[in-house]
Amino acid sequence: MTQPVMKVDQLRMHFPLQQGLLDRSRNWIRAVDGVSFSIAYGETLGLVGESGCGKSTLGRTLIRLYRPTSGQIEICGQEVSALEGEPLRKARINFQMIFQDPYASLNPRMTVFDSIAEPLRTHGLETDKQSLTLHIESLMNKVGLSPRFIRKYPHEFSGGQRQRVAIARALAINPKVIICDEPISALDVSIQAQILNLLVTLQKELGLSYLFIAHDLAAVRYISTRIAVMYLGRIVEIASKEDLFSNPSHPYTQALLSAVPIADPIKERARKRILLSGELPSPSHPPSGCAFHTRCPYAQPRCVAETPVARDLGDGHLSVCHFGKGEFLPR
Amino acid sequence: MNNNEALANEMGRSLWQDALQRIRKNKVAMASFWYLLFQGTVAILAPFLTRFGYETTDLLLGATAPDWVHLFGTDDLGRDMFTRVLYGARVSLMVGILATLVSVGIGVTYGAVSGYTGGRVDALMMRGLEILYAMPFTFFVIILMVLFGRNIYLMFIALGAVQWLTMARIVRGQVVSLKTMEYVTAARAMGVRNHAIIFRHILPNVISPVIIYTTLTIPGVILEEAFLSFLGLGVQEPMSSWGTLIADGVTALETYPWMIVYPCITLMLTLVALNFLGDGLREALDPKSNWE
Repeated sequence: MTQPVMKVDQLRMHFPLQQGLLDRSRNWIRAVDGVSFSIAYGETLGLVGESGCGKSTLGRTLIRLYRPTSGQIEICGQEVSALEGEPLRKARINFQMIFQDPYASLNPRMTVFDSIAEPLRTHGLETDKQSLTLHIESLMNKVGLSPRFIRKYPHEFSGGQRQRVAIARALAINPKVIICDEPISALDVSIQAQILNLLVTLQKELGLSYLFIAHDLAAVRYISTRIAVMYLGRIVEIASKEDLFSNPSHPYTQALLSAVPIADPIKERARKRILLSGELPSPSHPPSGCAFHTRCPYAQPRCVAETPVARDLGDGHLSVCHFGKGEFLPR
Repeated sequence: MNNNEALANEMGRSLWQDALQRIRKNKVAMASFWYLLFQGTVAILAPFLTRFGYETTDLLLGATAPDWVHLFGTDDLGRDMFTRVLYGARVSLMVGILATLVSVGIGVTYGAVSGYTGGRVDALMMRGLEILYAMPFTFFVIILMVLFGRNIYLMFIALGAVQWLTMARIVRGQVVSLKTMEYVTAARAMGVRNHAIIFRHILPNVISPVIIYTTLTIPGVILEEAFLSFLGLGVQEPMSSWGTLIADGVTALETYPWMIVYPCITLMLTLVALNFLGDGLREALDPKSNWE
């Protein structure tokens, strides 16, 4: 097996919750709490989980908007988790991000040209104005935007077109990994498919790897090679998408998948939903043992006391649960 | 897409080029601009535009209504009001320009640095600002005058030193909200350097409030100068400024109304022009405003 393009090991991102001016005792929000995974070249890893589970924080930590509390991030063989200053700036050439809201991620006072030129200029890749323009025009063609829009401002575009600009900007410096932080959830449903297809096409053409963060399971299923399920700052299950959808092992994954509606009304009526009780616990006081035990329909005394480790179910299918298939007992 | 637009696309559009094109099309803003330019030129050329000296009294003549010799009439000491308004423009415009430069220069820099850096530096810089705020303005001016002697430039400094405080606060507030915008995050993820983020992503987006506040600052300082002069701390007789002329005019309101009418009209025209120009600038710098 070849080197993965991104390898994450025991990544933790804790944020301090400051109490007050004099009371210096601190509480920590454990937004990302010991996450490990890797992405192979040309692969898409989908990352799903409910709101507040830490998926966006994970994405932002990987892109080094934050300095991780502990753990390793290796991108293209380079350890980036502890880099600062100029070395970090240089390392950024390998990884880029596409943001959720294309209305917010483009500067309203910069034309398409300026927005896409910014990463190129920042990394000193194109200094000649003419070749810069050509480069930007070819990027615009690649993402399906007519180059005649090159001097337009973001507000002159629709949401889908803006997201194409944002994609072109992310592609400009030719990164190896792109972290897509819910890139389609702010778009109209009719546009979502277009953007997904564009991402797939670009991946084939340029050999990109994606970490695709989303809460839309259908989209994740469509685009991903493998899928990771996150709960309260940890990955609870990771498997190839076929495996995960046909054979979910972790009780949380099962509950998550059972919530997906089916388009066929007869099947939909027969669909069994696993309803989880309670709410997502606070990441500042995660439950002991298995973090999911407070809501798990099969929780046993062991789950409260003991933190589960990942079990390999074959073919890289990992599930972080004490029990395997057929071992679940109702509480 | 029409020809004009196609041409604009060929030529390349940057925010500033765009703004220039747009403000040229804004007739009111351009008229205001030319008026202000005219007002400035007239102030500079004042000695060549009038036969009278601003300090020359003609006690025999006394206060006369406007006629062809004295266009704006004369005051109770027989001084030509037209000349005094011309000379007054020098002080008033200078106060306006200098105080604005200080306010924009220091205020924007201080506010941007404080807001962008955040954390302890921000807290410290803001507390410093509050200390300056707490200082009574008149007291501050009096201390300056006592320390350095009476000097018209000191007054400019004093006015500017007070005006930048509010500007810094406004800019800081904007920067604090702008730096959490996703496009700033995107720029950081791209590896854009801090100073480039400030100049490319943050400052262009604080322009609107800065311009609006500046158009409010200029009339403010012109009037404050009048107040200082009234206390005897600013411009001294026989030198004039619009503020002192208006203050003098108020006392003669019932007997010699022309003494207040002309300085007021000039001041008002200037302020109106400044407001229209500021408005035009703000609109021109906003790509979202319609400009076809």
